[in-house]
Amino acid sequence: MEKPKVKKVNWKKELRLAPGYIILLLWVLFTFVLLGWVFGASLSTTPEIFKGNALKFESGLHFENYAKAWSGSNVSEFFVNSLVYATISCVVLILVCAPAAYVLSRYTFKLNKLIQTGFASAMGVPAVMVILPLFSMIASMGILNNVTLNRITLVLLYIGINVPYTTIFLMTFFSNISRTYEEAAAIDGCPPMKTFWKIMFPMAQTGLVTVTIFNFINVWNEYFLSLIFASSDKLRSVAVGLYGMINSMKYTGDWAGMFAAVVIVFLPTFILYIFLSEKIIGGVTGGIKG
Amino acid sequence: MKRKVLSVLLSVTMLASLLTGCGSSSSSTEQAPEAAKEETAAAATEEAATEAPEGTLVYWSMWEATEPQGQAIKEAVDAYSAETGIPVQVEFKGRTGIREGLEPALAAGQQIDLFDEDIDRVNSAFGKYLMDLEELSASNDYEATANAGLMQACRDAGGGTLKSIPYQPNVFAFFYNQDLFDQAGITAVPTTWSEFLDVCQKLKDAGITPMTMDDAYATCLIGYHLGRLVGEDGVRAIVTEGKWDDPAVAQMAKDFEELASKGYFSELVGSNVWPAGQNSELAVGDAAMYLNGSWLPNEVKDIAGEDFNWGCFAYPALDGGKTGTESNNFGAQVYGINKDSKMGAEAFGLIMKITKGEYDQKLSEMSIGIPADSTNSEWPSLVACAKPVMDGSTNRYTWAVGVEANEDMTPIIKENFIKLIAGSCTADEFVQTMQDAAK
Amino acid sequence: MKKNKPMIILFLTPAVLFFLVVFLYPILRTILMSFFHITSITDGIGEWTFRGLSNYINLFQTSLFRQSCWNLFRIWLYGGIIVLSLSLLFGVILTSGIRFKKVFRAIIYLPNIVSAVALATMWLQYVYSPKFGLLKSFFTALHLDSLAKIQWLDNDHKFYALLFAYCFGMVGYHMLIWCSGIERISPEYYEAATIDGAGKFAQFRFITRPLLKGVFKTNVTMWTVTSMAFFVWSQLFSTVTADTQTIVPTSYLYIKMFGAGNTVTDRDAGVSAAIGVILALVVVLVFTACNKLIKDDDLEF
Repeated sequence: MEKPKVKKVNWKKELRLAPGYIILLLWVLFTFVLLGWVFGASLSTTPEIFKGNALKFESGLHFENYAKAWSGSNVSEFFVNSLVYATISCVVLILVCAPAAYVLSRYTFKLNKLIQTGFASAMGVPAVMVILPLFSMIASMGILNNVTLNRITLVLLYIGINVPYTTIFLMTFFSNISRTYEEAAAIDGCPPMKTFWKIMFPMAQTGLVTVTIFNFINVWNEYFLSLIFASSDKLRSVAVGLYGMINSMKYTGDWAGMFAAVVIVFLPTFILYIFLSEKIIGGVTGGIKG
Repeated sequence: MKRKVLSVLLSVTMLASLLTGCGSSSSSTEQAPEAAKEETAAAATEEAATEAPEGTLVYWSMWEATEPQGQAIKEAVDAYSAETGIPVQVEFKGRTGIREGLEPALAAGQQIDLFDEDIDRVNSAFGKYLMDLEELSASNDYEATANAGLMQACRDAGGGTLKSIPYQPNVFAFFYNQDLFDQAGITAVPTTWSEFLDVCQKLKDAGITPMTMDDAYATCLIGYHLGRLVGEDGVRAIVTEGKWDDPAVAQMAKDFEELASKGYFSELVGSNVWPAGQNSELAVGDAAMYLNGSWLPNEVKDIAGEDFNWGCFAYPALDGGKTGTESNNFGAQVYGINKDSKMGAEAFGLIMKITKGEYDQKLSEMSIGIPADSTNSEWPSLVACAKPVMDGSTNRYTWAVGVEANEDMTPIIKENFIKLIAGSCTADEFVQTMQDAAK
Repeated sequence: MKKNKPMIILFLTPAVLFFLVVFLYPILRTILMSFFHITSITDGIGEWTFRGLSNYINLFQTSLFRQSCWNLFRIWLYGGIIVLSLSLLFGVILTSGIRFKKVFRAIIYLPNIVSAVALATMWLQYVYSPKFGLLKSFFTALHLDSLAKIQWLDNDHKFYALLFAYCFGMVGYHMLIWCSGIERISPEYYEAATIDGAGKFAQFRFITRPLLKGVFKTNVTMWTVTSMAFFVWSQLFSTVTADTQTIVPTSYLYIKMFGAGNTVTDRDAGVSAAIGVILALVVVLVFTACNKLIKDDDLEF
């Protein structure tokens, strides 16, 4: 968690960890073979894939698969759209859900159980049953006829459908923090709300970062909501835009192109994941130790 | 801490919009959230309403913008707009987009003038939103150059009146590798079951796997066989009323047991998940026959190559069967016009543009599909083999000859039928299992 | 702790407001719908026909729906055991002070963000392929011919093929949750324990496990929620027509709502709603059970 320091290798320690290394290496190797195949297939040709030669590259590397996948649709616009949707919703989700999760996990009051149960059941209702009625309601209000309003609606919905998940996820992280911190703060005369933002919020950092990563990926990959609600091409998210491409490659039998499209979809999420987890966890948790 | 998270997130956004900004400088500024909010305030509408301005046709398409059909249709649409001056807003929603999103949008009264999907789905699921097209068709003399069988199919599906216009026709039949047939010394395509068994044996003797199958199309095989014996109504009765004691079922099971025991199916039929069979067995030349739609040559063209020698024959007739090779599952995508559309005539004009003459030809060439306009008599060479079957089809079966009519039974039929053709259950066991399952 | 009403209200209002607007109406509507016969989900209430409880009764009398529930249960239970134990193992190893932790963590998490379409295609057409698949070549290389001959996607093996492919992608997700829980435990404990010669197992038993109850609860809840929504993988493992080995309630719901495959079958959004209600109830049940069974301890650390 701390910034990597140049440390002398403690061989005794490393030896004890050897079984761990072996297990991890085996799994990583397995992952590499599998994902390597996907990546290899994206640079291969369809006949080679289905003859079982995806990784032999007998006819060379086919970067044109990527060119084809990229040029097919307005990819950069989809990217910007998704980035905006995902960033705004992730930030708002944390600001909305962290306080709620804190209160739900810390205080007992009449509606607490009811709210928790409501959130839990909301997670169990299949998305179709939520999204289609909402669509009928919102569409008949005429909101979708204006691009800006439509965009705002989309972001609000992304936030809304992830509220129960984020809240329930975060509850554990607050309930596991010892109450002594608040008690100490109270003695020092710090008001509870300030205590939350100054002390509890930073202490739940790992949970906040983890759930933000999940939320980001959820929104980035979200398909059904944007399919139904993005009434114009200008509003389309990456998932809808590029999954369309994946489908069209499938229907025209261009499997190599499909894998290239897949890599294009997943690469930004992966880079952002590394960015988010490494930079934020690395920069923050080091500073706050109980 | 919060500020730190925020600032990181924001810098990510900015970084990314800078990066993508190089590609499309116009969009990056427009899309920034602050800009979006300001726009609401100013209510200035550079980025105008998605609601199409007065006089625009809105067309929701089942295709993806990137696939050949989408590209051909886009060209036709542009040509139509250029000629008539009527702007057209095409939304390529894709197959799931139409299947799941069209109805809620129609129900909410969104402006959608025309849309397309499969013939049966448009006429049933979207049926109540369809405009009657008899008059428009008559006044444009549409049917003079349309496929009569398909127009009839549309009328049947529309409850006796024309509510949809077919295009991109397809037919479901056995597609085969002519080179392998030649290699096995087969000179004529089979029309009866005994000829079919002959063909299989000859292929087998020549060391070729006679046929393969993918899980996705397994029900078509059982459907066709039962359909040849008792007709589509008979098949529907069997699956919906549970009449698995019908002698036709026993005969069908025996016939496939024979095929399986003689090794006419690929060893892999038990585990082929689409597209394994069509791509890694048929297209690469390991197996000779595959029961599928006329979209198959297009789907496997990258693997099979442009010089793949396609052949096609209708599902063979069975002794004492109710229907023969004139009955086939043929269909089309169809256009429907929203009954609430204020621009029905214009929408019909656009349909004409896409389904007639130059652009119909273009669509067929680009997608290796069958043309809808009967004067476009030249079919793309890869599907030309299906022309005799299509032309010889006078009686229409629906998908899988109705064997999927009972959605609660379909997966069970599929599971046990695949076992039957994979040789892991006998004909008697199959019949028994199905009878038990239908109770 | 002392109650602080204004704070409770202020902190809860935004989240509850979002919940009310986005979920309350659809959920109430779904519950109501489950007692009616409705052709299309967007039909107005005037077009609904009251059915009482018959949607529920019919569902449980349909063998296919029971099969789909059985499949889902197996995915939840077997998959849960596989995924939660594997991910915990990885989480513990990763936080035990090993080198290249970030690299390992990133790679293990990677499959979770690759599109399911690609992963499923990879498993189906590559790993399980009876012609040139990874498993086949692996077992052939080891001269385990009977294993090499298995057709992993035939009816007998398809469910486990699907289960394993799905679990592979989910391990990373739950590993992250474990990690974030373990990381809040001060690393000095482990450092000290390791140097003092406490084995990995002892460390886990005496330090990690007691402190992880809450995270375990989160993991079970999240696993339950994601498995209830299990849908895409089922679709990808059985294109066009549903399959007895891979069908789950959500895919059955989808068939009832939008019609099956290529044949137009009767649609009934009321039945779909009933399935939705059942799934939601299951989640609530598991959630409540978790809360009852696993009490959060107020541990000091």
